[in-house]
Amino acid sequence: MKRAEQVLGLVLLLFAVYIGYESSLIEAGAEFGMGPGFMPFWLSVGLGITAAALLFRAVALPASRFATAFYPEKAGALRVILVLAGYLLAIVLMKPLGMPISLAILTAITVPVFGSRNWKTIALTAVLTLFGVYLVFGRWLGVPLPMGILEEVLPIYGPIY
Amino acid sequence: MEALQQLMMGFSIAITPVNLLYCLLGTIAGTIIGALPGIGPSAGISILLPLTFGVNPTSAMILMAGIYCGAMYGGTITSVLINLPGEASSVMTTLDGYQMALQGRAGTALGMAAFGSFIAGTVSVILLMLVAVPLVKVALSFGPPEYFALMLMGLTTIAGLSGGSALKAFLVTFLGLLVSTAGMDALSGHPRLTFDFPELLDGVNFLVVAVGLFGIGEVLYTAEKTMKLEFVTTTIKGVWPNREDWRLSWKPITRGTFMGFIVGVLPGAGGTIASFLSYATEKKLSRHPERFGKGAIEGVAGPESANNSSTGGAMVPLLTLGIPGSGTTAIMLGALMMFGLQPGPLLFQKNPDFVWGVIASMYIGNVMLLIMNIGCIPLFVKILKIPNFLLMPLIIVFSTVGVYAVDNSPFDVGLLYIFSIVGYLMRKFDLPPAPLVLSVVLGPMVERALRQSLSMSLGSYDIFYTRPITVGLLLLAFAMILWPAVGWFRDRRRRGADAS
Repeated sequence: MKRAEQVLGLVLLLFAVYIGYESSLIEAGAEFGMGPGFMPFWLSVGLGITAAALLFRAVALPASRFATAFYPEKAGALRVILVLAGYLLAIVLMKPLGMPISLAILTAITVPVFGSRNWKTIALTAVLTLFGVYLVFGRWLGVPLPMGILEEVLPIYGPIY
Repeated sequence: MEALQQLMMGFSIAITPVNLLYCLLGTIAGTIIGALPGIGPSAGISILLPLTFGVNPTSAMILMAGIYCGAMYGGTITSVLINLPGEASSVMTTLDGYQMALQGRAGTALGMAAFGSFIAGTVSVILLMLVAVPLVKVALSFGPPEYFALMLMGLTTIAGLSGGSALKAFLVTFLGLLVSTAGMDALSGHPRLTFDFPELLDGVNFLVVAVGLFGIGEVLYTAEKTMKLEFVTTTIKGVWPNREDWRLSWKPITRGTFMGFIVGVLPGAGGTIASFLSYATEKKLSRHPERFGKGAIEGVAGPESANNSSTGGAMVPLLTLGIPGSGTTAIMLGALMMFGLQPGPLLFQKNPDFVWGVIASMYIGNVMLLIMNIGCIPLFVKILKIPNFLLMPLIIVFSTVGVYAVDNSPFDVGLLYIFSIVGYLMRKFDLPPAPLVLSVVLGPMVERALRQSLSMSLGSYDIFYTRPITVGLLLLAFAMILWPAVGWFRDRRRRGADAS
């Protein structure tokens, strides 16, 4: 965890330097007081100072002051990666397949991650997600969901065929 | 007298069928959210907020206030029955509540917690009314410099009192303020930190940040640490405390109520610190401190009253000054602004029906919560048995569609993905999420107040040290920055003394 904190401090410090540079290109002054670049620049200075302090702390303190490992068990890390991968896939598929289908796929991926391997449960939850999202958000709340390939089959507006 | 008349008007709004329904839904949802480990009121409000789009702001705020108060009640159930706090402010209840459950007194612990919460919640709303009206009169005299100083104090206090590392809290505050500057500058129209994404010209919506950090970030953390809830008992009997229980508990409830309210008013303190303080006070004042941690009912009554009372206190700065003091109230503020309302002293003058309707609904909500928590605990225990494999995907789906629904923007869903990862990493690195959400909400207001102040003074910074209230507030903000350093030096000295 000590190493992870060092990486965090360094990444945030570099981010602050980058934001500081970007902000320095924007006008910082105005006729009375501050221009648009004033706040981002000085906030990046503040972020840089605190990130440097975090980095210094992570380097100076002994390893015993930190938790042993960033991921105490590999299975936990794998579950997080699976959820994130499933979520990313759902976002990518949102436009071509539509939001209800992509979220149903996401549900089918995440249900086993959180403990159920029963394929009937997985299939039923995915189907319920598809129609639940469409009916609750699309029809009831009137959110113009991207419907993708379902646009003709399940219309957001007008009667349900 | 004026407040009473206004309150009556508020009740006439709060008892309309629609508002009663929203109050009931909010309190039920809040109790469930509070009871479920890992999901707090901040997550609950941000996830359910999209369901209120199209609803009038009063009903939406009644729902949010119901969730906020209900979560404080609900946190007790898991603390007592599983030894796992449903949310942070119920941590202290696990110490004695769980011990009581092991001794077969789970019902009494839950019953006393419900009665204490009801008394504290109701008194805190009375105190809110008493404090709010005069505070509004004072706040009406505030100009941009005072508001700037007040918001700065709010940000430094939440960072200084966040409980963990103050350095991390300040770092997160800077990060949140930076996020809030993204988008087109309101005055000059210059794009800032948009990284060539036209979708970022309108800035980052606070809901994307809140849902990512509190909602999906927490789901990811739960995915890593799969946990199974094991109940001590699921048959709850004897929820009515006896005479002896009342004799032991009435003083802790009274002290917890007032302590909780005062702590709730302070920015950044909130229910968790209130319950910690209450527990420590009761243990110190007890003639038998050795009973604490072994099933003392005072250890349940005091902290539970304190965390409920803090909700009324937290509404004071939100409604009167338009400045939130916690992550949850920051989300409420953001929501109100989305509904086109500007919280602050003028809210009492321009929208009295809204303010007093919400205050009146808090009285009604506390009665609903008492009835539910005395009569329906077995039902909530059953709901708690909903497996994670159904609940967690449901949270992701609700959060995603909810965030999309704000602006019908797929880009926001992409941003949500990023903030979910940020939220998860923040949890791993023990970085507090509340200061980040608070800074995202307050950031634009801080910048506007600073600009207006400098315009007033024709660009001179003198304006910040020539106005007494501004100076006072800025000194307090400065003290809050120094406070963690003082604590660090004191700890070091104590450790040095112990070692020698």
